[in-house]
Amino acid sequence: MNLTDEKTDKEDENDKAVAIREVSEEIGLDLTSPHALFVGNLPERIVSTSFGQVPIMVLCPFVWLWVGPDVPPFKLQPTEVASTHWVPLRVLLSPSARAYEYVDVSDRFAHRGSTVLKAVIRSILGKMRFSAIRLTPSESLYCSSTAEFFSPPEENAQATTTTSLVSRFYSWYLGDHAGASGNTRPLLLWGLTLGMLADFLDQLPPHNAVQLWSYPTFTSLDVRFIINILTIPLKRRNQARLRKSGMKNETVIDSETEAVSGDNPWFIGGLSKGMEASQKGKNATSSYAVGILLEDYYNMARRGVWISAGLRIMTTIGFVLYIIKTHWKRGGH
Amino acid sequence: MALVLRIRPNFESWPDTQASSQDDASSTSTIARLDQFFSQYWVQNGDPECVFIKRAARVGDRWTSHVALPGGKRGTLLESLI
Repeated sequence: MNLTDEKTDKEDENDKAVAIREVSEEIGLDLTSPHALFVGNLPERIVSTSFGQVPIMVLCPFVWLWVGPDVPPFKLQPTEVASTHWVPLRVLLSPSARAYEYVDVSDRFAHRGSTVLKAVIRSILGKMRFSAIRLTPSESLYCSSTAEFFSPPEENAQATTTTSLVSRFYSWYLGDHAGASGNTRPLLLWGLTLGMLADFLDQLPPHNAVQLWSYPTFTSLDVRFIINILTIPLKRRNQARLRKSGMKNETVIDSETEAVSGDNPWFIGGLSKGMEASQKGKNATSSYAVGILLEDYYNMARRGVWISAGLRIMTTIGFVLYIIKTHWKRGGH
Repeated sequence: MALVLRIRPNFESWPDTQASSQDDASSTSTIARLDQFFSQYWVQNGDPECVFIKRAARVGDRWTSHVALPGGKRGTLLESLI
């Protein structure tokens, strides 16, 4: 397994110490244990938002191998972690585990546009579709003390009576699946975490993790169609670049996923301005696979959204004019 | 954040109870320890796994209930910004 070793200084040790502390706080696993063998780090990723011109944080993934047959039981922090799941790598690598996550992105820029604009954009886009992996854990642990895990029926009954049929239909149609809680939903790995894992997984045979990944798009067929057409040359170009960089050095995995890697659903704030911002916050060395694939993709996607919005408005106007015309003609006779 | 890997032993080649004590943490290099670890029969026949967390359901967390790697610390920083 080849992990890049970019940072060797004090800063690296600090980030590592933070990761060790956070893991201990969140799930109670002691990575300073003699059984926790530190094997390297994945390239760090810069996460930026559309409204913060500056990148908001840097994620530094470090890799440990537990050398020993038994991992001590986890202690889940109830306010942070709902559950933990051990997932075999072969599940993550299997094409049959590939799925999609659908996210209502209009919510994400609620604080930008008016409710009307939001509704218009939502009706045009539908949900945003992200590449995902359906996790099949070999072992799961739930934080059973929380209401999320199991709440008494009285509370549930109250909750269902307060939501009307209309609002339930509304949330079913537009609901943000990614944000839904509950144990019945399939576990989907997508977005930022998938972006980071994709490059790691791509190092493992059959080296198809990145191939299995697909571009984020929208559920509205016209938007998807237009974006597909617009991004054909871009996809071809990025694919070629990926192949080229792969030949040079197969181990290169590099920074910046995120801003682009799909989990930045509020990039859609870019309908007004956000995309330029996230482009600015971009890391110069984006030679890791998913980053290469996504380069300029969101710019094109945004163009596609506007084109289909324009087409819809023109079609509507045309239709209205046609109705008026036929009515007027009929009235004339 | 941390990507923590482990090997789940196969039923047919379960490790001895003494197997875990073979590993000597302090003296050897990472490469040597990896070689030593992967030379064991239960590791060679085992199933590599990694651990994910499902984040707690929290109002105002952009990544509420998302699947993530442990040690992320993403919530706190964002909450202060948004």
